[in-house]
Amino acid sequence: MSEEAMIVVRACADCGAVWYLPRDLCPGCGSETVTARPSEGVGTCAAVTRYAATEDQPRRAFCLIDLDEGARMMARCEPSLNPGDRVTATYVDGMPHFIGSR
Amino acid sequence: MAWISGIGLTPYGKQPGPGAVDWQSLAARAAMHDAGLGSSVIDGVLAGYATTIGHIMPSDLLAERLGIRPRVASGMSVGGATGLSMVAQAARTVDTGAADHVLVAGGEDRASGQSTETSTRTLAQVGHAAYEVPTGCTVPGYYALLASEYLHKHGLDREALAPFAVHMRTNALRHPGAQFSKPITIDDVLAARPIAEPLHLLDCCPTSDGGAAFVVTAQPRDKRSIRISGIGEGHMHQHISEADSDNFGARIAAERAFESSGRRRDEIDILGVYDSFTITIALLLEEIGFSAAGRSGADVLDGRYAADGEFPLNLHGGLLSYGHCGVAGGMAHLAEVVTQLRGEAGDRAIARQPSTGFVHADGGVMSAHVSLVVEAAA
Repeated sequence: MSEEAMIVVRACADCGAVWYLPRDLCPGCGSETVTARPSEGVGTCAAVTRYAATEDQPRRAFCLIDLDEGARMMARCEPSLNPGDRVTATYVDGMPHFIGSR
Repeated sequence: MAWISGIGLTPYGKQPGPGAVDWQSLAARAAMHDAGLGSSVIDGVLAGYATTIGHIMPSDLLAERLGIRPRVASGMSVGGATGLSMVAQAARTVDTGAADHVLVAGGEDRASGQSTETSTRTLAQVGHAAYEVPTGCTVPGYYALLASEYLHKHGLDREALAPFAVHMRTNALRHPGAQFSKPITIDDVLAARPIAEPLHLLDCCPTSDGGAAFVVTAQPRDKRSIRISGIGEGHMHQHISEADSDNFGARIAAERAFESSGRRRDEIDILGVYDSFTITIALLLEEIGFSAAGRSGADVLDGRYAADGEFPLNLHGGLLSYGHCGVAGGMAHLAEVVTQLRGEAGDRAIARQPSTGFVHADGGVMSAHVSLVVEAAA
């Protein structure tokens, strides 16, 4: 797993709020003491959408994942995932790609 | 106090030829004519972005085209909420006295002025540039994710959303300007080809060419002027990864609009609510409280939103069937509500003459929300 591909979650050192996308100030309390740390890449699938295969592309799927650290993220995933499934991140093409947890 | 004194709404559809500013101009002239106000007295111009031209000064561009030299001019851009956001800003502008007659316009050749691929790629940029867009997901996919979560949460299947597609098409059949004029059934919606599952083709609005405009005035022109009695906005996130599915911002916008108008939800006679996808309008109606959570599709089947129901909804056919040409898309809902409040809807008039309307639009991925309460003169 390359370092740049790892999922990073952000957390507020003051109020404990946790989120995914980069922000300069905490969305919970406005604090500037925002920290970043690698996620374990484990969570629960909240939503899945599947795109049919086209001439150029195979069947693709995207998901919303509620990471166990408390952040939500959108990512690629296996088309067989369903909402409610426990999931684990793998990395394909330098991007998170979620599969069902074994 | 601000009033909608003129409306201009072109037909929507695949209508090649005119460019974005042509559509804006066409709608703007119709609105000015409807208000009985010429270019020399328009002293404010608000115009929305158009993806087909990407001009950085849409209001000055339109003002020059119409021979208007406004005291206030601004281009605006909050996605699908832009049209109602401009009306809200026009109302605030006349309230401050900065201008007295504000032209608000949107229009675009979204269907004919670019390829579907370009349009899809442009719109997908509402996703996060580094963390979401590179996945290859597009706007139907973002909304399909919201649909997947919604259906799972409520133990429903995609049939629960299909009534909205049929509802909009049924209404569109009565409007000569609508893009689609062929009736559809629930079975048609379910059998349509998948776009981004669980959303299939008829769960998604089309792209269209067309324009819409309003003239917002500080004083009523006559009994046809419709008062903007309440305004509310909600902006809770930009990206789907940061969205709170239990609080997208629609309820906040609506409650602010109800509070500023002094109206309650049950005093509303007619609705115009953004319907880019079937899931969009389901989420909006439920978060705002016109339907209970998970119940809006069933409420459509029960007649709650029909022309003779408790809350007549999108009587022009909505984005799903009147059409969607970008900024103007969400303005057609307000144009229809104003037409109904004026008692000028002809064949589409609802049995009991409405006096109070509610209009709502969202931009992005349920990101920017604007609600308006509008009322006919007593």
